[in-house]
Amino acid sequence: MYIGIILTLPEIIISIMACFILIIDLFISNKKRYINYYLTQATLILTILSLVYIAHYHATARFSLFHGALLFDFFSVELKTIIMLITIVIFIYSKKYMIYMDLFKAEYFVLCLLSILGMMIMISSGTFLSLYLGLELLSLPIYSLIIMNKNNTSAEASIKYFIMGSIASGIFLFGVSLVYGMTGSIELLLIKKLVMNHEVFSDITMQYGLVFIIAGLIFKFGAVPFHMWVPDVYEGSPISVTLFIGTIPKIAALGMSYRLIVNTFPSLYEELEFLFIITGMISLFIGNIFALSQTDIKRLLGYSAIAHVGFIFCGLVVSDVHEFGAVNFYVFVYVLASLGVFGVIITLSNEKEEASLISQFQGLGIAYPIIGIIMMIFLFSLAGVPPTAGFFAKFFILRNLISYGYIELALFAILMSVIGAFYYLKVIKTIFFDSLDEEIKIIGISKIGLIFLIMNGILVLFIGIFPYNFLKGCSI
Amino acid sequence: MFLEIPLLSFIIWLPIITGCAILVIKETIKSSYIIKKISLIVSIFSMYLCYLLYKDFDSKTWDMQFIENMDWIPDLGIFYTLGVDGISMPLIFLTCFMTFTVIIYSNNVIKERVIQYYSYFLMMQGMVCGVFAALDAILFYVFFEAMLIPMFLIIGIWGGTNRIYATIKFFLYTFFGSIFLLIAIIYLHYVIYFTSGDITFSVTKFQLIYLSLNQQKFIFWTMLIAFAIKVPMWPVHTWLPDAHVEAPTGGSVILAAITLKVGGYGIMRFLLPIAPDGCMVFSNFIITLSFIAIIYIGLVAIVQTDMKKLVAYSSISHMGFVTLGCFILFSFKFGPKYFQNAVTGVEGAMIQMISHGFISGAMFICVGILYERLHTKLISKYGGTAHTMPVFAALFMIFIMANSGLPGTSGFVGELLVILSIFKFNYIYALLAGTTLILGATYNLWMYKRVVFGEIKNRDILNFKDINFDEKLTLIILATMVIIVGIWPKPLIQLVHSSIEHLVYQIMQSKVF
Repeated sequence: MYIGIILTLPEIIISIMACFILIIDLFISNKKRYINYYLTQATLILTILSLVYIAHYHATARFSLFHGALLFDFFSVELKTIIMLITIVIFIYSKKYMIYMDLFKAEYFVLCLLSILGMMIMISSGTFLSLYLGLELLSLPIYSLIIMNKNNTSAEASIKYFIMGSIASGIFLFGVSLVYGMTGSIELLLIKKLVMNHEVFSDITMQYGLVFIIAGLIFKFGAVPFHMWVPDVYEGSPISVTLFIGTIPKIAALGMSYRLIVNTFPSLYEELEFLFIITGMISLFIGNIFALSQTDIKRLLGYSAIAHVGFIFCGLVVSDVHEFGAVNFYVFVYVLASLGVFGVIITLSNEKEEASLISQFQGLGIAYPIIGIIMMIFLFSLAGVPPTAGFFAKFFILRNLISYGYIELALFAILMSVIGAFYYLKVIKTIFFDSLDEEIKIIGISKIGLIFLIMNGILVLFIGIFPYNFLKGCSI
Repeated sequence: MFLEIPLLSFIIWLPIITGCAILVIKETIKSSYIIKKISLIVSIFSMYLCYLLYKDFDSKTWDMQFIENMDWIPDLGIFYTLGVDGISMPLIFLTCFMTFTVIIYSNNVIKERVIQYYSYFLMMQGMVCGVFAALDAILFYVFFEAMLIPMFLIIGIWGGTNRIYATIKFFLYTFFGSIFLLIAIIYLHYVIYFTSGDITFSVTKFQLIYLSLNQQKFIFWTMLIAFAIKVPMWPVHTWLPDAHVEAPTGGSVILAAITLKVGGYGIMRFLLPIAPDGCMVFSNFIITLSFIAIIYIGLVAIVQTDMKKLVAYSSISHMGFVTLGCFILFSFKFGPKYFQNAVTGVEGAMIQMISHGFISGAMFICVGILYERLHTKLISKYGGTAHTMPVFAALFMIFIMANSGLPGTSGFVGELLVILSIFKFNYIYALLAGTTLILGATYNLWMYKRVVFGEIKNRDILNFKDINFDEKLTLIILATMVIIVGIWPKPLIQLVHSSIEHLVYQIMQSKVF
């Protein structure tokens, strides 16, 4: 029991602090709201410290706790640490914006913390039940986060996301019930053993269930055919929430896919290949083609997210344990780059409105060359142009695809990324080549946020030039 | 003494790091003045490094020299490997040299965002040197793609009215081409891995592997798309006139003089030695395309009304000689008797690349000088500039002659060698290739006549000032190079000879097992 408490320390800290912040908010005046902010950051740092402690003392073995409900291995600790770090950066980026938009409330931080708690449970889930609970705990706070600024578009986005999310959860549960019916267990590792040892489990019912489970994964990633919510939610949410939705849930979904693919169904995997190929190809196509004509930057990034998820699915086609590092690398690099892009979008917001149209970026690179260049690094990374990290992310996945003989798929994926390059170039063009019409001001971000943003850009460039150690960290 | 210093790394990274470093400086009149001086010093210093490279270079061997090897991603077989042989060595010198001339020329031309301008040019120089020096395919690819970024910005920021269309077209065209190269590289990597178990991306190892004919055809087409767009060959050349016309003068110079050479270099380093049988199968196809480039594009150049477009089309036409020289050797029956002919053809292609670098750069600078004065590139607006700009007219004449391939200029040497090589094979082909001399003379001299001679058409031309010191210096340096290579090409040929001999030797061995 003692080891159980130590290993779940990060989760315990977060849940206690979430309640604590909610209570303490009752006793502080409006002017002292920043206490909530610092408390949240302190929580996250505390969590990281506990994660480091865990990684240091217990990371060598895999622990299965609470009758198999939670799994702890190095992978889960790693993902959780990265989630925490990125959340800290997200709050730093969005602090000033939240004050402008009247979002600087205790609820906001509590909801974010709860969502993160859900992700942590999802990442280290050992049964389908805990996976489902994590999934729901991740999603429910996000539904309410989207609607925090109480206007029509965000209401639409929130309702849309909620309804679609509920349906997707239902589908996921249905799949779980089928698998449970076949194997008599919801424990992932047990199912893996059963499926590996007995031929009967690879029959049609099992695959049927599996397809529904994968549908849940597809929804969480936001790939085609469950992609409809992505652009609307990206566009409708306040930018700080888009920053949240657009980055860390991807890492949580990565954890989920790891649990499902590597921990549960590696032996059934070959039969699912086709599903992943189709999802990946259509996501790449739809994401890239639809993004071409967008004028709203958030919507554009929504479609680009679909395209990137398509690439991730292409990577998942060939992911067994040894090749999972490439997908990891891709997701981390994608998250880093989109974190930066949203960070730059935040800098342009002011008291009245946020910069949502691409045309509002006109002349950014002329007025603020450094911010312009940083933004350019992020966009080139998303487009996959060396020497940014995005190139190696794409390269590692392509390499795996070709090594398994999927040359056509690799060609398709990379051709689509050429189309993708076009809309990123359009944004770069607006930043650098269009003349300065009106005064453009960077007031949406604090000084510290600006420093973090520049460091973020340098990191993306640095990983692009020295990817080796980062890749080693990503391989499991 | 200098052997211990990683010379190639210095040549690559010194300009790139300087370029990045000066980017953070805030632009004022004083700081931009200092930056100009710094860039000039850096480019002169890299020319000095090139001289050191040349001094210690052993032209008797075809082996890679100045090899540097460091871990990059060792688990995946990706190393930071650099090295030069006779093929890449002159191109590295050309890169440093042309950047130097651009930096001198731009001294008084660029008025806004000066620091960024110099920074991008320095980065460009380093990256292109990286392309020529890289011996690891992934390193090559990274530089190959990364050099799009500064060029994209150069055209987009300082370009003409239609610059955004041109620069995005340029970027997407080349990006599209290069992804096929990436696929081919990864494919070759796995071919090596599955046949010998080596995990490597080394170019020299790529050149040694045996491939079946179908594999070679696959490699041929994927790599051809990448390099044909870069060269550019006839049906995929359309980005070039746009990019050239819209680019600022410095951008056009670098684009024509250096980035086009990357395509030719890629053909020599990758396409020919890795897939010789694939090239053999399609050699007639490439030769046809080269003739179309030489003759048809030459005809297109005649009717241009825009000076820059004319020079751009003449570039395509001249680069046709490079592909022709590279692929004509497949028409010979392989054997010792024709070996020397094949070497002559490839050497001609190589010399043509170098000389085209000097000439087209100079031509673009001449056009730029005129544009600075009248702010139009239309030929019809000019006339009689010789009255007000006699020095310029004289220097311009040299380049016009060189561009039309007059004996005594560098333009003649390359074309002569290629035509000589073809002559042994087929008179008709040689005759066709020879038309370039007539076509070249036609479009060049006719343009020169309309721009420089005749009556003064435009009142503004009366107020023209003759070229200033910077412009004069640039043009004189270039003219010297053009004439030296034209009169005494022996050192250059000696430099490339053994490497090209080895290349031809490699090509002539069938790889099909």
